[in-house]
Amino acid sequence: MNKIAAIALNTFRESIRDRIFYSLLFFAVVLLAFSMVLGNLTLAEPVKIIKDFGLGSISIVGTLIAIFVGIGMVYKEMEKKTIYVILSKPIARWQFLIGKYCGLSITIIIEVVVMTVLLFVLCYQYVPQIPFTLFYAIVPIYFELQLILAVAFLFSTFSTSFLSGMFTLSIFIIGHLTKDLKMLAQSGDDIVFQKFANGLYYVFPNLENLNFKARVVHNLGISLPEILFSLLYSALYTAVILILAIFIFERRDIP
Amino acid sequence: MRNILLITLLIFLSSGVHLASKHIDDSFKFDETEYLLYLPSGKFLQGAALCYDEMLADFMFIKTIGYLGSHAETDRNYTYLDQMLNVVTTLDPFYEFPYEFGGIVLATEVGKVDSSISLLKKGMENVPQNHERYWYLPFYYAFNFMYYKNDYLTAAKYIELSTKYKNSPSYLPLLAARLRANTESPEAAIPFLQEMIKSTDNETLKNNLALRIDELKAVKQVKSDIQLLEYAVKYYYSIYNKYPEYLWELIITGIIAKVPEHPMGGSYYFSHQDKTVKSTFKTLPLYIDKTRSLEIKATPK
Amino acid sequence: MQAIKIKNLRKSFGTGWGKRVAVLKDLSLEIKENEIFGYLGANGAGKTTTFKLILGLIHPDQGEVSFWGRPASDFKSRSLLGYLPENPYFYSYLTAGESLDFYASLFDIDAKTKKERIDELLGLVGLEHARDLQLRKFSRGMLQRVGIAQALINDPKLLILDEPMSGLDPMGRKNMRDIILKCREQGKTIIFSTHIISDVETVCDRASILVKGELKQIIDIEDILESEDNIWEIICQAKHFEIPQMLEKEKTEVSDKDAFIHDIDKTVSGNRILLTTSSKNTAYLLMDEVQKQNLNLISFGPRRKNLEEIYIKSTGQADQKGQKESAR
Repeated sequence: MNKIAAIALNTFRESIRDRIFYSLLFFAVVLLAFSMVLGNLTLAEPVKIIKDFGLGSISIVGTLIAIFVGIGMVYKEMEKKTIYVILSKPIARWQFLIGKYCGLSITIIIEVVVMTVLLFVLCYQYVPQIPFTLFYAIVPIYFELQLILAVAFLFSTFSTSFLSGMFTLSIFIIGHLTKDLKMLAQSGDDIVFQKFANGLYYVFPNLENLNFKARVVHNLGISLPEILFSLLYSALYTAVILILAIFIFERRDIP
Repeated sequence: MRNILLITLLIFLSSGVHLASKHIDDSFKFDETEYLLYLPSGKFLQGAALCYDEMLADFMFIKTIGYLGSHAETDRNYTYLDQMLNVVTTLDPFYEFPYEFGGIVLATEVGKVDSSISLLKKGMENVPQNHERYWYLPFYYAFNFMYYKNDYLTAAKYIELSTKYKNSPSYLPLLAARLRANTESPEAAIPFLQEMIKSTDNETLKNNLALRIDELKAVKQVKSDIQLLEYAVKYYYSIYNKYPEYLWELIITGIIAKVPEHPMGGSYYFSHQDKTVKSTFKTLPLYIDKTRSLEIKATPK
Repeated sequence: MQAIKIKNLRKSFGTGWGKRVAVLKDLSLEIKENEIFGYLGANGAGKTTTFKLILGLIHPDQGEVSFWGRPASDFKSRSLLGYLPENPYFYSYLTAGESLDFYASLFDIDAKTKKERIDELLGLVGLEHARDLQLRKFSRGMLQRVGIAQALINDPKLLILDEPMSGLDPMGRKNMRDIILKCREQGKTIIFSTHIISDVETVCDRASILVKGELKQIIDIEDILESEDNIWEIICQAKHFEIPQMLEKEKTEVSDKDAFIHDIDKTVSGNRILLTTSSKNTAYLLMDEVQKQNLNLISFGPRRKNLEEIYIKSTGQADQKGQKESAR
């Protein structure tokens, strides 16, 4: 456990000392500032625009961090040969992987927390009360980011950074489209397409399950069980992906 | 020396960049309508935006406002406005303001009353009913029916619907009652127009709406003036047993102090054919849409 | 007790398109406790691959590795080891102190011991002054020292060093040698790979020669030092020296009986000529010839046969064999 914590801490330190984190965080802040400008451009409800953009930025920037930092985490260690020293210590491969994953999770938490605070401050400027309901959207976003991070890890254990990035991005896109695709298939008569869409729907993560942004911004009722089940779904999926990643990583040679 | 050379080069090149971009802007004017021809449907964009539909909706809405603004100042041709609004409201169906804004603009500025009606209907179906401006949607819906379609009963029905939602003003029940009782009173539209003025920051639209209110007030004025003059004519007839040739005869005979001034700059005269008082300013712009709306009589279920 | 036991180790790598290249061919090796073992081999001979197999970084196709009887596949047995990779890379954003602290935390070492050991090791490798400097600012030699420090962080029983001397200046090499010898004094077993023979001669107890994935020879350095198997050297000042016909002739005639008689090696550098041979008789014959040709003799005497010759011989044989094989 201490070993995992040590790896996690070191990974976190790496991502914090890495410039990519700051540049992305900067990008997020710019996006938020931009939302203020947009908010002033519309005639009513600037808070709505700020919330849209705030939640959107948390998700976009978080996804970018998860992909860019996640894909590099294992592959970069091999490329830079830093992995030899670590794995020559009495640490199991799974401990290494989980440690790295936890470290990046912390990084993403930091990103989400910083952005959330910023978003709350911005909202407070317009409506002097803290919009706690936004957590109903932010927590699922965080879980989605965890899932994407796990996917990035999985690819990173057997493929180059570039390919992993591409693969992870495709999973992210497919994950948001499978539901639409499935509905589209069901409205048609093509049985092959229906089977295909169903396959996609059940194999790939359904990330739309974790998208509560619109409903939260518009104050629509969300049932707590729905959120909890979505979080459970995401957590289980993440665990499956991570175990798969460990399975592959334990068996591979470190060239 | 080398630095000076570099800085000079830098300045030279940047001014080149600036000039080139200016030239492009001036010479190859980007035709936005053509670009909008490729505006995909909201359903398609909804998929393509992944989970960022709402952000895209916000962007599109701001673009829509810009589109409206630029054309309001120039050609007042709003071919793509309803499609843009449709995209916005498909991407983010819960966003109340585009319905309200579109509902007003499409009817009053663009003249597409049916687009306005269907947009407002879509809004009533999608916007959460606890939204604090929800009542505007049935309210403007009612206005469209009353003002453009002269369907006062439908209008009254939707005004009554509007009263059920929070923040709706207290005069609405009275307005509904008046619509039901006096189905031929155009001035019932005045409170609608006043609400519309309140809800917009767009100056063009505001002026336009204010003009409509003036017109409606004028109609009311003309109506009462004519009523007064006809009463005077009847009185003249009862004394002299003939109709006056000109209205000033009423003044000479001391029946009225003066002929009232026409509010829209026209004048009143006595028509011997119909034996009634008439106004030279018969067709107010208000009634332009009347013919169009008569062709399609849409009544909500 | 054997420190490392390697049995029938085989490893091949895929090169794409289904082809596989054998990197280690049936390697068996035992390393005794508390010895310094030199692992000699040319670049690409499979030295690093062997180490990676020992460390479990890669999995063998066949065979097994164990330390003191514990299988290498169990990650816990790595707590006995310290490893210095070739050209070690570390996290450049960490300082020297942070690095050691991080690596120490991967062992079950309590905080107090950890601190003491980091201080001690930074002193040992002479990096106290650079303790709070980020590693991105380190030179190659300094990184190598961080490398040896991290390899010693757990006070390992077995130290595996991959090319520990490369990239070091003469002073650094001397320090590295001292550290290796000191580790042996402390009872550690050390195995290091190199392609620099003099390093092996100066510190190793035993050495092995790996050629193209095959273990050619295991040499006891003591044996070489004590061996009678000398080489004779004649250095004289001259522009030309003709190897006499007689010796050439003798070579062809007597070669079967006296195999070493014809191995005269002539090296000309400037106006000096170096003649070497492994046969005493040949050496005397050459001396006669030098006198006959009236050349200025600078030195004449026996020299110990060194590891270099053995190494070159092993590698050369393998090369010839390889050429023959490929010719077939």
